[in-house]
Amino acid sequence: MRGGDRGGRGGRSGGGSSRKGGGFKKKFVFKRRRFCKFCDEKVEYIDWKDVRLLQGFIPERGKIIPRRVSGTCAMHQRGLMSAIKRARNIALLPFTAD
Amino acid sequence: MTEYEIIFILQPNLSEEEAEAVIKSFEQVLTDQKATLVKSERWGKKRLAYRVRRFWEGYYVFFEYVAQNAALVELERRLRIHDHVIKYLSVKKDPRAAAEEERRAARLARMQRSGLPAQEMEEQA
Repeated sequence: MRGGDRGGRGGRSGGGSSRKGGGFKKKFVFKRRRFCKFCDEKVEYIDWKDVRLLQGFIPERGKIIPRRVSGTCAMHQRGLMSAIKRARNIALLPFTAD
Repeated sequence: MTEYEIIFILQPNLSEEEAEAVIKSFEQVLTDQKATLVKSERWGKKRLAYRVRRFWEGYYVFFEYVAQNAALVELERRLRIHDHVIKYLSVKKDPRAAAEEERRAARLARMQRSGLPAQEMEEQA
């Protein structure tokens, strides 16, 4: 892996505590609620054969989208991970794509 | 007795009949080993995500069967040896998978009742 695709923590920059402004206008930090797609649909098991579903979690590069980005819960991310790895093994999904 | 799933890829340059003969021979292995074949699906020629043994395409075949371990060992051995098989993956079926299929079917039925066009249902499923 080259230095180029390190990509920092994606988080919000500097908490922006607005002490000076007196605080009559609350600063709106736009936060969209992330949720686990699988919990929402009450999915129990993520099938490794469902390529279309899995493809949504691997962008062009072929890497698995991290939990902090997709919002998937730990349990489902684990299932998703093993499903993707199985699909990769049988050449349904790429390990890398350039 | 355990439920297993197995998927294997045949060389793309085989003719339909040749491919069919190979698949039949593997089905035969299972029946000889007293396994019961639950599903036998031909997914057809698909593009591989990466190159496998000089091939960019492959003929995907999927089996689901209930058997003792010995049958699995024998089938895997044959797949490894066979010249036309370029890759295979053998998995024990997750017990939750059945529940998941059921759930999905129920969902599809629900959508059908609410009268969504067939194509849309496919997308949402």
